[in-house]
Amino acid sequence: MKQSRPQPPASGVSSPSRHAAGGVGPRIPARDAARVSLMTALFAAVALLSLTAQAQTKPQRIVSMNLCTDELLMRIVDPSRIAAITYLSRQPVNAPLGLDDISAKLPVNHGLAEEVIKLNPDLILAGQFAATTATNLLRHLGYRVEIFPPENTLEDMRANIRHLGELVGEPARAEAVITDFDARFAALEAQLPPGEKPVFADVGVSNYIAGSNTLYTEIVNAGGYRTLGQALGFEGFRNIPLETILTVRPALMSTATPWTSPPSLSTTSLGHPALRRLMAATPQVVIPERYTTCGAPSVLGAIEILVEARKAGARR
Amino acid sequence: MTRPTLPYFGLLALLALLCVALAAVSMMVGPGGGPAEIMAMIARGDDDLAWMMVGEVRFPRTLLALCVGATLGMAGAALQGLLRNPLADPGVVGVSSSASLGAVIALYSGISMAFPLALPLMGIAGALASAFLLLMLAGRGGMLTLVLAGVAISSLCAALMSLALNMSPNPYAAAEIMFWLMGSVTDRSMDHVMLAAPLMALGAMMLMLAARSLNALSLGEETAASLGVSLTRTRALVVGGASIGVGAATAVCGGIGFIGLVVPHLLRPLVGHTPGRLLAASALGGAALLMAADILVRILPTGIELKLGVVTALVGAPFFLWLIFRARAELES
Amino acid sequence: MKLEASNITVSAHGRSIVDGANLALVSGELVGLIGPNGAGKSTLLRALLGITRRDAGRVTLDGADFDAMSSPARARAVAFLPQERRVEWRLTAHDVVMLGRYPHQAGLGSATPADREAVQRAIAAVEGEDLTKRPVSVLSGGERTRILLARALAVEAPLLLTDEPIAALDPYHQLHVMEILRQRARAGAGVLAVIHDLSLAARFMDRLVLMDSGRIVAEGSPAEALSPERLASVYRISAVAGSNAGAPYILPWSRS
Repeated sequence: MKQSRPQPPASGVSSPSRHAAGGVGPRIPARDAARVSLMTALFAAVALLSLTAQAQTKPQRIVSMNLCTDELLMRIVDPSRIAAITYLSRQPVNAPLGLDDISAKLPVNHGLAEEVIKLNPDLILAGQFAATTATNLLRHLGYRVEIFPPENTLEDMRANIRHLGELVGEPARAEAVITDFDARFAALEAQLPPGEKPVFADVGVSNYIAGSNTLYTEIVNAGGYRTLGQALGFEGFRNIPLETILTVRPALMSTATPWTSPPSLSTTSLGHPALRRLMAATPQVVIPERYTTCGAPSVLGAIEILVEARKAGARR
Repeated sequence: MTRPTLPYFGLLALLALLCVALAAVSMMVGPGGGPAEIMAMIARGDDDLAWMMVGEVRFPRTLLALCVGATLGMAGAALQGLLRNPLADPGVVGVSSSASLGAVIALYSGISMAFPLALPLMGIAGALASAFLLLMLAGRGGMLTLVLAGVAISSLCAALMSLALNMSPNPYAAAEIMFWLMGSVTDRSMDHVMLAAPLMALGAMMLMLAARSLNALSLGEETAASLGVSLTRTRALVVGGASIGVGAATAVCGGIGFIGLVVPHLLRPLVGHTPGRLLAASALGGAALLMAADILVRILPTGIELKLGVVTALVGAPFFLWLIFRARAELES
Repeated sequence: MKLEASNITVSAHGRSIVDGANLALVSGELVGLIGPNGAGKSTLLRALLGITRRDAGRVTLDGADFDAMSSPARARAVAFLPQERRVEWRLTAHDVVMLGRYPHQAGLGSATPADREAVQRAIAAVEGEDLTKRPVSVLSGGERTRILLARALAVEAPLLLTDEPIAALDPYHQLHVMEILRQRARAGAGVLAVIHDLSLAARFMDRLVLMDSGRIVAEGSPAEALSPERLASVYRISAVAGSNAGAPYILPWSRS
């Protein structure tokens, strides 16, 4: 993989050439001035080289082309080093937990190669499945593109955070983010009442249900519930017939959230009278989809909502 | 008429009995489980869930399969009688595509959110618009012109559907419509039945009014006219009735094909080849066939839901090929 | 019963096909409508019945406007046997003949005893008793024509119009069909047949109507309508005429 292109130095580092040109200072004899100039130039060259080397290990213009890497990046790296995040993170419905003031000030990209090139990045973060034509093109043009596979478990999340920390030269901050997450996670777990986990039925469009071995299920389990898919005994995500959904009595329900608009055929499944009857008879929660889309600290938002629901259920 | 080997009303009674039997089986089969599982649900106190499952999911499904199958069967028989061609099918007059187009527009423009009746009504509207266009195009031309006009309309509707999907802001639109065009009665509710059934009944009534004329049409248009058949009235009743009925059916279930082709062909020898008698028989036969296909869809152990239209196509298309093979000598004459 | 057509005019694509034709048909006579190909005979017939649109002209039935009558009433008054021999579907001969009772039936159209008797009479008239149970599609040309004729007879209308009833038939069946038509006329019906065979026309018909280029050019007995001058000017042929057992015959002999 080709190295990053030579970069103009970021703000805060003075230009060595200005010093070498001799600007302000006491007058020196011409012979000594030449020697001083040569040594200053050599010093400047070495300094420039070492700074460039540092710039190569610590990217200064990072572009994220993926919603989940957006969040990890914003938590680990100073905003001044983020050249752009995706436009999705600026949408209210997609806001990561607690990062509104940061995301509001950052430029955005739409996953198009031209936009990204204009930003002149030294590191590009992308997801595995989205915008692959753009990422392939960018790689072909010599940019440094790092692919992050989607997180299937919370352990994957920790691994991704660490990996990102290495890439951006902030391993310590990455560990701090993980430690903070683990602490909050443990605090929430401690609040869970004892006993078998009841069923939480989250019915997506076209009766899309999560089974075991998914990040979603791990989040729900952490929140004190089993998913409907676990109760039915399958892995991964599936569209389930309504009859099958009706064979399990849930303790908590949720149906599809803002992504039901614009209207489409699949949203009609949510209007079925039997499903509406079941919803009317069951306590409901609304979990912003953003909290479960990414393996990132925002999952705590979802876990918190579920833990609260569990506590409320136990009180009843 | 001469006595066919099986008396006509005997045949109807037999088909009706078959429908009742299949309906009963349909109520006992489903992803939620058979009678044993349902009993278990009731025993553990989940009787409200069991009732929801059987009454609000399984029953509408059975009823819809019955009504849609009947509509498609009768429409197919009527169109074959009108066009005097055993290879005709409701698709030939472009009804299914135009009904699908109406439903697509209703769905993706959001009109269907405005009021629940909008979706089937837009489907009917699409079907009627194409029927009107068809009768305009065909004008006083013969049946070949009618068929060609139907093909042209189908193509136009397919193009417009692609346009609607292209413009839809929903990223899953294209995949959805592909599944919908495969046809399904899964997870429909009594709302769907209530909306579509009256229109399907209206369509059926219109077709039955044309039954006798179809008999006379066997002798050709001129003889039929001399016997007092009004060709314009017959055409309007058949094309209109088929459009309304199949339009309503397509609007709630998507595109289900081949019932209208296969059922009349199978039953024709049993009604003495009389087009008029074939209508009621095809209605019952179509209902039975579609219910059987829907039962098959539920008992076959495929992991992913098998779409109803796929099953009817898998049965119907080879049958259609065989039909052409058998009939090619006659077709060339 | 008298069917009278006056000033029938039909044109298509700017061409005149029938130009001011007058025609009458009364009960009890067998009339032949003859003329060269393209004279407009079939069109005139269809215009009479209302199957083809007329540009001008009036048709009355016993003085009453024919077009103003209801379709079933018209169908019961005038039966039509077109040239079309094709029967769709594998209907039996009996079922085909029963279709002739359509104008008399209503509602669901079940056959009444009166219908069944009419069908039997019609089949007997064409001597088709042994054909009844067979599908029409497997019958020979002559058999099929007889059955279709029986269908027209089953209407039991006082007037019968047929378009080339003996086309493509062998001599046996040609004679048979002509005999049936004459028998029908004797029984009281008014029968009009478009016909090409001059000999049979001369022999069987009571009256001939000769058409040429859309106009009626001659009308009368076979001797009057088919005089040598007429044959030369209209048909552009010369013929040998004679009589056998009191009936005339005309044999086209050479082109003139």
